[in-house]
Amino acid sequence: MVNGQHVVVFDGLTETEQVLKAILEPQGCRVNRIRKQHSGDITSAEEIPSILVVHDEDASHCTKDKPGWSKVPKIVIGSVKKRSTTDTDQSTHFLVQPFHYAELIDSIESLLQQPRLNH
Amino acid sequence: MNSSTGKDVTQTTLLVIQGVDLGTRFKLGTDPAGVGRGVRNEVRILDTEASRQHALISFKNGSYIITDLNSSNGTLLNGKQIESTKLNNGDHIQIGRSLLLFSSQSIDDDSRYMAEKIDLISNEDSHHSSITHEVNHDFDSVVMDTADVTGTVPKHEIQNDLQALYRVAEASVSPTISQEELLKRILDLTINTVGADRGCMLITDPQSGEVLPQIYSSLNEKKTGSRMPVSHSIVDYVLNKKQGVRTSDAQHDQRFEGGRSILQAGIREAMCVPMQGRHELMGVIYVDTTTSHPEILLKNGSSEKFSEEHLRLLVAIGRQSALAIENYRFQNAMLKAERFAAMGQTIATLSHHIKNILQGVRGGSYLIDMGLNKSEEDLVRKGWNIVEKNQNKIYHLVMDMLTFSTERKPALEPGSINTPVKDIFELMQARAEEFGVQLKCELSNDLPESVFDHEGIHRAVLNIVINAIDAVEGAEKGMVLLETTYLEKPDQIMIMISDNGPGIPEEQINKIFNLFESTKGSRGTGIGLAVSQKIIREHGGEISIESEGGKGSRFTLSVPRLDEDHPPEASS
Repeated sequence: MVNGQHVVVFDGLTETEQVLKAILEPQGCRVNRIRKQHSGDITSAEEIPSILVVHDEDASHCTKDKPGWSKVPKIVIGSVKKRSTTDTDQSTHFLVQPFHYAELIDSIESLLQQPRLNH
Repeated sequence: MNSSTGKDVTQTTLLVIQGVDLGTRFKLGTDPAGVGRGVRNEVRILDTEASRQHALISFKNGSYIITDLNSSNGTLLNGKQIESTKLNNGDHIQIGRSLLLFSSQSIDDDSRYMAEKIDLISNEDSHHSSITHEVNHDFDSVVMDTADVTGTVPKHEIQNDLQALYRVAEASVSPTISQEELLKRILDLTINTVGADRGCMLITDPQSGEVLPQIYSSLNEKKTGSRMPVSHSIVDYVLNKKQGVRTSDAQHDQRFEGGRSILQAGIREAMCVPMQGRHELMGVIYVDTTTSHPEILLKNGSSEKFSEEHLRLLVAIGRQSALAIENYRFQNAMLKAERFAAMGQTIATLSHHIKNILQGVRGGSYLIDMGLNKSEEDLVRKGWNIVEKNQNKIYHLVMDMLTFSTERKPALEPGSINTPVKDIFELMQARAEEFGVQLKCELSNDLPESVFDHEGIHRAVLNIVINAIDAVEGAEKGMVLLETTYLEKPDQIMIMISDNGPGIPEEQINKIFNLFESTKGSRGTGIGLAVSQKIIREHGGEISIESEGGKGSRFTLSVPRLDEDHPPEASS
């Protein structure tokens, strides 16, 4: 199900990347973490991830100047529960910290099962 | 410094009200406390104008004595140079360019909160009055019209009045730790100025509106055992009419009728004035003169000591006192609001950081659980590493908080600063490798021995190294370099931490050491650098930053080589 997919963890905790790597990489899913200060280096369309895991404070600018990234399904981690808007219902999942990692894995799998939008 | 005997001295403090240590409070106990720039002083002032061993504060026969230790610039008490003198509550001690406020609750306990010494005596027959004079609280009518009213007020009396008002105004705005202390200071001045034997202040309780005895003072300390009767009817009259009153013959003043205890107390004259604030009545000031032979008073009547001039002055002092109370309450309210805001911010930041740690622990636990279920040792190991890492995070958070608290005192021991720097280099290797960062260390071979807090310096450097590694994480050829060197001329040991990360934006450099200011967003606590700066300042040093966007940052920790046995300056 996750085989061949690419999950990008935008900044945030290193543990998120480590857990996702440990669980998803053996299933053939690539997991990367991008630090905020180096996010400007990404410009190639080839690097468009399948899922973006991002903290709510970075959610608005993590896709800035990155072609095609705005349509990537996101899992937004925040401190308070946010109400989903119609636009974000389908492609964005919210998790409130502290969450259980099983919820994060479930969210990733559920977003990957959804029909992909055209980039 | 905090030890105490049978007499409670724990409330005796020195508060820095001017100078580099502004806001620092030192508790004084019964052991002698050295004051100065030297590292071994109990009251260490980081003031370049202070001598290493500047002064000594000792506790003898229930009093604190300050003695200058032949300091270069001398010790000033309330603006006057001293050699050795007793300290009184509210004294200002000047050491170099620093000003310290001496506050001792215990010293004044005998005479400060003596509300129980005041007897408010009710008198039902209060409609007859032989009050000699009444004066409105309106300030203009009190002072400006003096000449018109009395006609022949001697010039020196006007000068005395102005001087008294000046002193009261000065007392009203000088630093104080409590409203009681402020009012006691004003009452003492008042008693001296109007020539009263004793006095008290009855203050309106902001919650209940009730006027309650609060401050008592007596000119003759030997008389402090006797109680002070205060006529309730006079107080009520003053509060209702908002006018100051003077009676020069308590015996024949019908307001005192039935107040047998007032006669027994030998009261000759009394004055009572309102303390009228900007918006409300804050209470009354009541002063009197007494005689130790009330029978003579009954026989011969009274000779006047209080004049109308005194009453006018007291009314003006009442106004000043009320304004002082209002200001004190306003400042207190502001302070409380700021304290609540700071507490709120502290709780929010710490909760956020603890939540991050909990999130990490959950990640580790999740992997351990998965590994155990699938019998995959590799997953268990990965999970355990995450749990261990977060356990360290909690440890560092707790240690940073303890370091920032006032409870910790630097434990100064001789040694080489290279030792903690090398320890950090070895400790941080694993973290650097994990983040793909090259960690290098170049220690100076000719670093002299120094006296420093080993754990403190370790923490100060560690926090900056952790930040540096975080800054270059994920960068190509990310590198962090630790260096030490010794500069003979300023006799300083330097520790440098450099990285080739993205640099710190210029607008953030100035506030980077502020508590809870973090450039790491949700991952940072904003405690680390504040702690590092606190520790380095405790050593008399400073941290400087050089940073260039895209090229990296360099933190330089300069610490004076502290060696009390071999001070570089023989003079101080």
